[in-house]
Amino acid sequence: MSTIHQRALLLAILACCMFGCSKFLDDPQSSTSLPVEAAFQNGQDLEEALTGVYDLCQDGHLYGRNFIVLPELIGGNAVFYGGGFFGLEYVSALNMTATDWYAENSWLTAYAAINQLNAVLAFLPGIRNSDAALSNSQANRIEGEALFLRGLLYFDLVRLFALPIGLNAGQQPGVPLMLNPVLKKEDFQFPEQASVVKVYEQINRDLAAALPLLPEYNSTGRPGQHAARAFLARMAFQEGRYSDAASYTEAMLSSAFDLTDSPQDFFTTEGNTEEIWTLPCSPEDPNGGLSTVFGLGGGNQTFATADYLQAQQEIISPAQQNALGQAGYTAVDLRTDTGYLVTHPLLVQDGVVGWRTNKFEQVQEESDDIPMVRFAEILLLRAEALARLQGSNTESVELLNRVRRRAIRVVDAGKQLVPGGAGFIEYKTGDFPDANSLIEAIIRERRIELAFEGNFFHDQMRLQRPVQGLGYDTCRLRLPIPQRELDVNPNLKQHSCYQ
Amino acid sequence: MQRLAFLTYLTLCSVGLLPAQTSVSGTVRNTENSPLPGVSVQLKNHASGVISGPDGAFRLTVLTAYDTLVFTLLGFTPHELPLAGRTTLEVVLQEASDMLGEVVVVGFGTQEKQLLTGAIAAVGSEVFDNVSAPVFQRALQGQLPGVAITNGSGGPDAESILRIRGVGSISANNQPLIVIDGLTLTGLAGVESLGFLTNAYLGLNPGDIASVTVLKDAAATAIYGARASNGVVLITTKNGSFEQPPRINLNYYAGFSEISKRRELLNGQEYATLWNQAALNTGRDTIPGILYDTSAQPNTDWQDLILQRGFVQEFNAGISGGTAANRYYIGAAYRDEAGYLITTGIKRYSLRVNTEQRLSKRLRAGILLNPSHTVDRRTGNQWAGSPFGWAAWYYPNVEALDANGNFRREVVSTSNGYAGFAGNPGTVLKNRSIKTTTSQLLSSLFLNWSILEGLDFRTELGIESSQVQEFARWYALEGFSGSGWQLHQQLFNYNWTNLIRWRKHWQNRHRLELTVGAQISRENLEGSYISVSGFADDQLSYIGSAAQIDYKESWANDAAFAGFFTRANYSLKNRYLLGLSARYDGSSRFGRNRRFGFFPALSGGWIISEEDFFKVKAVNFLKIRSSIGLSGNSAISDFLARSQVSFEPVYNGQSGFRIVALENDLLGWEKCLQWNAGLEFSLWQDRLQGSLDYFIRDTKDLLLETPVPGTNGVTTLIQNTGAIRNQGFELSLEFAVLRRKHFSWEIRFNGATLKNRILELADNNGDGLDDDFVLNQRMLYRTGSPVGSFFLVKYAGVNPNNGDALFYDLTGNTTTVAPASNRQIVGKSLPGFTGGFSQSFRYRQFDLTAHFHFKTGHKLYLEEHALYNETNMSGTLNQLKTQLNAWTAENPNTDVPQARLFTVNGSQPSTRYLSKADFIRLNHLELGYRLAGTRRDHTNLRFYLAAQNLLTLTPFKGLDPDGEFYPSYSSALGAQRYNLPAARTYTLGLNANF
Repeated sequence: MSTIHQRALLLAILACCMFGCSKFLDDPQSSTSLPVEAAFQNGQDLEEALTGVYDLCQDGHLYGRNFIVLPELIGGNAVFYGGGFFGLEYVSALNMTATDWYAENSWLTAYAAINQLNAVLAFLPGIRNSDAALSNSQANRIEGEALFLRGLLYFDLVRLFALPIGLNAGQQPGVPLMLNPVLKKEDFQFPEQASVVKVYEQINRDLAAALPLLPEYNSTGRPGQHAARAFLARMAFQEGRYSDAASYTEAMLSSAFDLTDSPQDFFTTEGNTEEIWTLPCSPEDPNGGLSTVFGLGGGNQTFATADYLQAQQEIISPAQQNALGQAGYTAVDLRTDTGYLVTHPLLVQDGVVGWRTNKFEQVQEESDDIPMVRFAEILLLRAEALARLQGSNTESVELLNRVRRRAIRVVDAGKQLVPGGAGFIEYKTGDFPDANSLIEAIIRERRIELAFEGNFFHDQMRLQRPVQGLGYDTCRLRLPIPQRELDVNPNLKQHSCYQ
Repeated sequence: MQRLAFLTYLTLCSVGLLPAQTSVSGTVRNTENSPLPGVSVQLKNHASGVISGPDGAFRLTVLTAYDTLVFTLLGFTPHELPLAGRTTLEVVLQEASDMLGEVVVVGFGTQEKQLLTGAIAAVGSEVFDNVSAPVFQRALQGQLPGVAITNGSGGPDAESILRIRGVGSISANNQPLIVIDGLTLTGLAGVESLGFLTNAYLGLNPGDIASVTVLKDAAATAIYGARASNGVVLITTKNGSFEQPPRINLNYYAGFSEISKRRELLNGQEYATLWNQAALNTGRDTIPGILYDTSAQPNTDWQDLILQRGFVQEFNAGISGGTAANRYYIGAAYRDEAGYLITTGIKRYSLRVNTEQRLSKRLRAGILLNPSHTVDRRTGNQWAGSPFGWAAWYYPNVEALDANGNFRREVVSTSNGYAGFAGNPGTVLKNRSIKTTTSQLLSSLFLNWSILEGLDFRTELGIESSQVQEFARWYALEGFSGSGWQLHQQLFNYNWTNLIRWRKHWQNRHRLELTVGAQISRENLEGSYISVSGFADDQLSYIGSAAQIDYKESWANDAAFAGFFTRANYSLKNRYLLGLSARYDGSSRFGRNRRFGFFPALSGGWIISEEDFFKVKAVNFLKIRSSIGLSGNSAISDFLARSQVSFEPVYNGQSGFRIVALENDLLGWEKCLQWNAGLEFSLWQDRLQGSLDYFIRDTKDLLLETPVPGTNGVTTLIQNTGAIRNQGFELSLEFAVLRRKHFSWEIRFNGATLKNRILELADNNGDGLDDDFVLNQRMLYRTGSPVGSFFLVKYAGVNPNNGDALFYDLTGNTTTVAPASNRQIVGKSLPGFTGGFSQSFRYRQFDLTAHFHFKTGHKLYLEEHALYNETNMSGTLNQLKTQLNAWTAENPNTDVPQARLFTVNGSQPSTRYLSKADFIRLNHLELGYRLAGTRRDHTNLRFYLAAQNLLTLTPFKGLDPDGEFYPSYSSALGAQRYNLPAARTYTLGLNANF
């Protein structure tokens, strides 16, 4: 081969190599991710986006742990003395700092979920037109769920990161309201906190708009109309709009939901009649630490407080106690019974130190479902709403008794159920001379019935009552606005006690 | 320099002065079959000799036909050839790739060291051979100026953090490109589980390494273009030489290791006492059962129970040599190391075959194969859940062992009922089995075609392939059925390089070397992870025996690179030097229109000592050089530019996706413009040699990932914006203090200063000012400040009146609160001065070497103190003994605040936990004895006693100042959280060559 030919061959080899290159660089494609515009193409994509949000809700930073555990600790139903979840002891002792890890992660995760919901809502109208396979009812359901979840997230954010709405007519800073998706740099915002009342207005708009779009009963793990009503009622309670709460809950009394036979059943049986909306979890798809924080053997010292244990004692009124004593019977509250009657107690002793809830006990698998709202609460909400509207009334008393009959058993000395024993623990209208006494009985019942499910703190806030001995408007009862947010967004305001 | 002078001398005087006896003639060629002019051909043990002509031909007269000729040429291995009766010879000289004094390995070739125009530092095999280091990076600590190496942790499998000339990137990877025998490695061969990433180079036997060259300035790195801005590390492995008789090298050492420093923790009684005090101080003593009976507390020293005397042995055997037609190195190595944490250790089996064949007059081919198999019995290395971390914070006042002396597998409670879960620092080691097995094959193949005289075409294919299997079993504990996981990962990376090289010398006056090439590479990593639970029996090891799958995950990386490059080196009269290089480089990681970048560099040098006017007798070599050029960085996640949603979420049996990033199709290269000026010198017949460099390295269009308000749904935004400047001096000195027949003393020193400053950052909020940002809540990034400045509230000690922790506000007044608004810059995480020095003595058959390395001017934040061990008993965690000094009415003057249970009093992030981290460490001390009476020069037997990490001088308050919690790619370094301190190792070794 002549040298000319050799050189030509070489150049040819190099040239081939070069022309192949631009194609070569196109070849690597991600097998686990997509650009946004490719991800939001059709109705199925919207379903997947929603699934992504439910997965976030299940996460430990939202309902899988923090949104239930933090209010229980701050509210003083439970106290955290140490363990694997480092730093919860400071939440518990109301000694957080602005760099608190729990507050920061809840904030970031909630807004990540909200952004994705905003994207679903923004892409939906176009996909409604373009995707023939997307039925109108499916599109409505998607829109309903997205609106519902957005309202729900803002409801929890504003209740944890801001002062209660009952204070100063809600004019104090709430949380930033993000209602449009951020998908590229130009969409960026540096929002300030909307006032608490503005946030509540948005929650109301979202939930109310979601209500007619949702199916009455949705598939497992998804909220239906009744879940929307339940949260509308909860929100109305926070704002003191009791007639609204009464009408939302009235519509649910005739629904397919009902109390389970015993309080245990709700926590041990999946898909029971009391679940208005539950986030299902499994060993493959665990909750984010709810079981580990509360459960026995999870390495976390989370105990019921003395204050809570005291409240358990007040469930049977002195008059009822008296009557039982005279008859030689005992009332056993299955919610707090530690093994006298029940084989699956909801409260268990841990060492010599104290008692802890056993509502979430799958500490290894973290597979306890996350209770979002259940029927017992609806009964108590309606009972209280009616009491506030009508004073002492028979329907309220009966709703309250329905919850008590399910929870409390009257037995004789031989542990045998006393026929008609419910009469001993049921209230009569006459027990309540005024609205107030009835309301107090309902509130006592709520604390025990819904204990360790993230309720008590929010009740105290709406009632403007103290927690952990501190006035409801105390700064330290709020989660700090995360320092990382303040570092990057000069428009945010920190609570005075974290400054 | 001596050699050049000698050559000149010979050129001038090489006339046959001796009576002609026999005439010998021949041609000298290089391995690429090009004739070599200017080769000194000398009769062994005689002064007579000649220089080969332009066609490589020589002719000289010898005394007998059985004499031996010695061929020498700068840049080539000297070659001795017995005539054995022959009178015509075809001689091939081997390029001296492993002779560092002569030639250094550079990108895609070699260069004569004296003619270099770039900033390059190199070490040879002596750095690795007798040093007990599981990975090559550890042996390089403090060896090369401007190359700062930090241990991720002290475990044998921990990552090493390499920083060449500072930190040029904030969000992209800061680790240099690593190339072994022409194969660009991905650095992805490690495995990430248990909270840290294992070292990607664990499979590479340091004993195989012949040299490591670090390319620092643009003149040296630009030929690696877009992946070179963090510097390039070129590893060359051992090989034989043509016409070299077989040489066997055996090296074995064995010894033990121990933890270099232990934590001083409270014992059971001290813990109980401080706890009671803390409970009392917060009024919690009224909680029933909360107080301990301090007179009856068990006492467990968890560190005692999980530490052991480690063991290490390594065996390296190699044979090298060559004939006229081939050369080879065949080696085998075995390392067995048991760490100082019980149950942990590594075993590495590795083989190497490097061989090269002359196929014909014009064709050569070679193959390099390095299979290795590594078994890593590992555990978590550097976080609170790791055994070492756990041992630091876990209750000391519980009984650790059951009646049989095993760690208790049930829930263990303190006497007041505080319980952990079943499991403790002992069971995390003894009750678990985690085995990571990596099978790796590094291979390259090349074909070299000498087309014309001086013109070569070379094609090289390199493949990095590795398979990782990790099996883990956590055996049953009370309340927990057995669980386990299996991780599988496969890495496949190939490079294909085509080169044309042209070398031309014109009468020793002009030398030109031209390289043109193209390179493509593709790296692909795929893996999966499945964790399971519900094993019926602890005997069952594999996931198939488990009742259920708890979690599953898979990942895939895929990236392609393509580049075209050229380099020209020209020298005039061996004294005026000019270098030019450029690379046009593309990567799949960037947006479609931003993929390609152009990276040129220009350099020049002047060997002043070659000038006729230069007559300073003491200076036998003096060169100045300078370079300027551009290189790039593309070390970001593979699909950042193209992916915004991730398909991982699962809910209730349905799968979904999540938006994780924003649109960024405009993402392109991070560019680094570097200017370098250097001086190289050699004095007093090479007694003192050294170099001095000054560089300014400006990185711009940073791949900057800035934190943004999380209310936008994402927490960061990545874009090409921002700039950083690194500048500094680098000095390297070698001084032969004494060179006597029976005694010699040599000193080596290298040191580098570094000044790092951010020049520009993003302005996301549009206020016209660069936005500061803070990572890890304390690392500040601000224009005008160094990367990773510590941004903390200043701790002011304790109020002697009430035990409150005090902090300074920005006006210098003390307050009891530490809001983030009071943070100020209080130090930097990057060392300002790093380096090392060594002393070598030889007396008769004894030799002694001591190597030190040091880093100064930086601080480290002790997260382990801030979060866990120095919080004056604010939680249930065990504390350091320092906390016994907490404020009490009787002990008012202290800097440890009053102990307050479940209350933050002084444990807010502040300078209380920031510690100076300057240190100097005796890295390696070695005493050797060489047996006398060996017959031939290269036959010897040497015994040696070596110690690693014998001594560290430091004001650091943690255990080991040379460790880092955050991952190696990050710029926000400067923290420790339960890093394992480096092991102290003592070994006894034997090295035999024959």
